[in-house]
Amino acid sequence: MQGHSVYKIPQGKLVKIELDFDPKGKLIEAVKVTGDFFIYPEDSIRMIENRFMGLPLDKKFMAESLSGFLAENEIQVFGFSPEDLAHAILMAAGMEK
Amino acid sequence: MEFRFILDDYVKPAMNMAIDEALLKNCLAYGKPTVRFYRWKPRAVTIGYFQSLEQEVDTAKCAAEGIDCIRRSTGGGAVYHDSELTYSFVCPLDSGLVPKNILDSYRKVCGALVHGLRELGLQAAFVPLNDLIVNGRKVSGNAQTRKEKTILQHGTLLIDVDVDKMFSLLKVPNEKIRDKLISDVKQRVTSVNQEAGKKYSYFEVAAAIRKGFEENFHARLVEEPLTPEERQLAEKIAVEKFLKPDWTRMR
Repeated sequence: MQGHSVYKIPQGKLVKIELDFDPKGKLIEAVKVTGDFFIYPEDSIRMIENRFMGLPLDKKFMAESLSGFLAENEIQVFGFSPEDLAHAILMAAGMEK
Repeated sequence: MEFRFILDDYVKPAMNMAIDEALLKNCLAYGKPTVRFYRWKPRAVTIGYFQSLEQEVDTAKCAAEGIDCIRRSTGGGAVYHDSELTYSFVCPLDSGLVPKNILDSYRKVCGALVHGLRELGLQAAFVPLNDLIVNGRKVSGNAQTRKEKTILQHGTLLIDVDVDKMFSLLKVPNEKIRDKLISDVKQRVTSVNQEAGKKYSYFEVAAAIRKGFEENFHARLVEEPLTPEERQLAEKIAVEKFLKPDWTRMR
């Protein structure tokens, strides 16, 4: 199934999600994250997107997985937090408003 | 301390982005930081590295009006480049000129604009992460990238602003709220001439911002052109990157 969301982070940037997911197993198949944020280095966006493939649509799990990944790889994100991104993905799945 | 200063006039959009990238790539070899000012002909919409062209920009409208659409190497939002001064600043990451901390480094480089705007009688303030405001309204957006042990920060300083025109070229999430969005943005965005109540030209603004860079970095800006190698590299980058649909439509 496909879903999308637009999430304006309070005091932050605008994040847009295009999501392919399995609604039965509540799993992410693929995700594309676009918006006016900043990531250093820039090309790690692909690694971040790939990181979500196969993850459960669970807010805490997604956020912790991403924040660990950012720290391990010395990636800096400005404009959204791991929790914000997890929320935007759940919005795209229709699981949060 | 001496910086190279390049005062360009109108340059094609893809070349503007390609010259900035060539300056970044050649910065360590060149041996000193560079400050470059430029404007855009034809007019252009640039989008941030992470944005989707199709989602952000009415590309058909741009094409009909002869406005180029270019994806930047830097993050941030979509920008309509018309009556403005665009600057780029390039320096080695370990030159000590700019803090390594990303937020602090935006603040430091934007300080040049704050100093420069003071020359024009305007009191500007930096608002993290990447905006500059005058009287509470945004007058400048900035974006930075770091590659090859070098910092490139470029940004736009609005000399005049036409929010209606800007919005006619950008897509909005929901057409029903277009009018509201436009009136909100009119409240939030301003320009040098609107705030100063003057009609400063590009070159007058450039002279002020040049001084701002000198004060902010305690440096002397000395006019030196791009080297022939840099120009050649920029032309290659324009063709192989910024003019390629693969790049522009990458996300």
